[in-house]
Amino acid sequence: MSVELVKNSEETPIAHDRRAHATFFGIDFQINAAIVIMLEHIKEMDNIRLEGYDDIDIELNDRSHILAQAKSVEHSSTDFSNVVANFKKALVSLSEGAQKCGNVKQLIFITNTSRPFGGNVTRPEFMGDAHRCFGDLSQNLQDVVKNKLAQLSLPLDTSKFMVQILPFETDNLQERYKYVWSLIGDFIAETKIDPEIISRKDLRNIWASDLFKSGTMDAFPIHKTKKEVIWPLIYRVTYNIPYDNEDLDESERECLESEYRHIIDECNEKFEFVTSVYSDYLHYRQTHSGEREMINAFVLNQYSTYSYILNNTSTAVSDELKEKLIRVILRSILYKREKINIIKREVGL
Amino acid sequence: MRFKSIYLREAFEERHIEWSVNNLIHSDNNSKGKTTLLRLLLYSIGYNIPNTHDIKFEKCIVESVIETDSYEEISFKRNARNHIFVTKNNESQTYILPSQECELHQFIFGISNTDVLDNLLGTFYFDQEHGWQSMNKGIVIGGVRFNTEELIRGIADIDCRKEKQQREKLSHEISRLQQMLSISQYQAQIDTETMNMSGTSFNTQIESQIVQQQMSLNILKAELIRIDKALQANKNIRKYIEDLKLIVKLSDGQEVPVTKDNIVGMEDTINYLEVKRKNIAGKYNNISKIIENKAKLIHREDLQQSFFDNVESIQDIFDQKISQIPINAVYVQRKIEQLKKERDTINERIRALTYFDRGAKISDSIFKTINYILEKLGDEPLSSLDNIFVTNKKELSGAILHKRVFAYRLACLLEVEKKYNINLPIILDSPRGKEIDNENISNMMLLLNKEFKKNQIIVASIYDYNLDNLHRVEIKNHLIEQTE
Repeated sequence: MSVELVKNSEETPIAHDRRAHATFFGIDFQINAAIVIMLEHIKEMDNIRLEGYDDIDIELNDRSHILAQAKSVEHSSTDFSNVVANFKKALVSLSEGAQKCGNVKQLIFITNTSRPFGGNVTRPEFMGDAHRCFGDLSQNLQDVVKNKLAQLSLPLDTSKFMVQILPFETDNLQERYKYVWSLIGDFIAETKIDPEIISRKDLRNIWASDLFKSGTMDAFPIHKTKKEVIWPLIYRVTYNIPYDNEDLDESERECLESEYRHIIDECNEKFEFVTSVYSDYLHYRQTHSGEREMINAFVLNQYSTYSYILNNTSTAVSDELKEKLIRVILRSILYKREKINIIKREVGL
Repeated sequence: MRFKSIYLREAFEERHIEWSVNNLIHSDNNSKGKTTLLRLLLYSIGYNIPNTHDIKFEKCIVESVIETDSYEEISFKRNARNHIFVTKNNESQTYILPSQECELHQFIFGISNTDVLDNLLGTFYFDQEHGWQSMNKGIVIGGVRFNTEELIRGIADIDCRKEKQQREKLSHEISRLQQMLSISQYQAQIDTETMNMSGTSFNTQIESQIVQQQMSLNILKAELIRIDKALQANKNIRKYIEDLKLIVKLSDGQEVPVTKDNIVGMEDTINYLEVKRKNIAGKYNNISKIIENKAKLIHREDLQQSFFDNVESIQDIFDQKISQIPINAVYVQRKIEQLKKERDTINERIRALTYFDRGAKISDSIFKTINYILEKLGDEPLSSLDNIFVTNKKELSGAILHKRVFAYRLACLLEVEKKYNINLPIILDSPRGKEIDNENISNMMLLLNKEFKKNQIIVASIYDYNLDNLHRVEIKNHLIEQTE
């Protein structure tokens, strides 16, 4: 793969040079396929790597691997000339990867064509996105797979084989990434991330960029752990301070952000203080179970307990603003805790 | 208190003047030194009074003798602006001016409240330029100001020091920010000129960009140091807790050792900081690279321009340095507005304190006295108390303004005298303003004769006045020429 040419492109590695176009399209497909498979297995995933035991290599918490071979066709809805060759290569690669790895849970042939095994007719089960295990294939297709595998000295275990279709076509990115974005959108919704803080498009770009760098590493094995994939997301999601719940005019908000942001950050990053607030909050929650908007109720009723944190702060700020600052700090700690808990639970971190 | 005498000496000329109860400093023509004498009189008791055209005060020796209300004599000798010798009962003391001005006037007038002392001159001295213009607030003379509200707070012993300190601090901040804003406007001007001129070198622009990037770099570096400290502190706590080897009992009775993995939030806090550190370190590296690349550009231009003597003027260097200061004009403007709002709030608080309780009684008393004096002067009384403090001078004709100022100041003077049981002199410079007719002047003098018998009156004018037992101080050609 020609890495240098695509290094600086975060959105997509498409070059103007038509000769390189197919190569870049292939890389882009591989990266997006990795994101899709990663999200589908995020809970049990431990780490991911491109160009590991196969194009995509996901190691699970039980140390078994999901290996995927990504084969794309640039004009997938009209060009079927290479699909059979791709299918054969995928079987060979997956079989070899499985042998090398030794502990494989699933072997995925992921492609963007609706005729993954060739043939003259587009089959309805491969239209759109599709996940078909070997057992779910028609007898005819099972035979096709078996015939190909029979030619290999160490064929893969068909019970672990799956063919997956990822719709991915055209130079129009709105069209090309729509399925990937949709899946990321579901992830954002499940993890209750505010899409205004990070959109599905942003998140795809971030992960694509991260995984692409991982795929260019020469030394093997280099793993992108789940922690490494998810924590930058958590950082991004929890970086902004929740000023909205406080009655701040624009100047007060600017004052807090420009002059007191470091205090807010320090309080958020000091474990003793964070755990003290969280512990008080849990206790409050137990004793005030009927209240709505528990964090807000806790902050409004308990903020005066924490006024000591601003004892060493400049007196230039009014008492009213100090109170608001304390409430902002408490909310930021508790909202952050809440967001971290949700995301970690949803991704099994 | 009243003035007994004054001695003036300038080079080889000298003059001694005795004062009586009612005095008229008179000359046939203008610009002979009447105003100078009045100002020297105030200068002689420590006030920071500006020179007149005739005489530079600091080059004179001025000695005054006054008599206090308890009939004690105090003599003053001033031969420089920055100090004064004061003698009472054969004991002399030097006061450093202006830092001990308040202390000196406390000694003279027996008033300790600084709000009253700061505004005292405005109650008894009517300067020819400003004295007949300012009513509730304004300039008395030079840098000395008068503010009725402040005076009322002083008389009523209303303590606003805290508010005034806050206001002063805010004013200082606003002033600083306004300077910043001026600089940013100047920067904009420089930028515009730079766009139009080829004078500024390529290097200068790049250097300016490097300085800006360097500032961003410094901010990131400070943040990295802070994060490292926080990380270390959290790791120390983690180790401490782990080393304690605590065991907790769960609600089901199970005993569980406390480790870094089951302390809620511990690893999250550390993970968060590590990601943040990585993020900021990434930005730091990017900016470092930008600086490095820009520095290379400078080196290249240096090589290209080595043939030329690139001597820049001081103004150019100044402009370059000014251009390098990063100022967000929008933010500064907003901040100024915010601070002004805060200052307005404090001013409102001070105003509210002024008219509460004791302050209200003082202002009411001043109001009544003003109307009493206006009546004596044949003028319309004020309709309400508010008119004491909210006055649109432009609406008033010359004569009415003149009389109102007179009434305002004398009403304030009476309030001070009542509070401290003292008598102050009344010093009027050119009381016959441009539009004051004889009848008005007669009324004013009649008022002084009748109602201010205990006060020493000193008037400077080219006219004659009908004051009881008037003592005339004549100035012929020049103030300091011995005529008595």
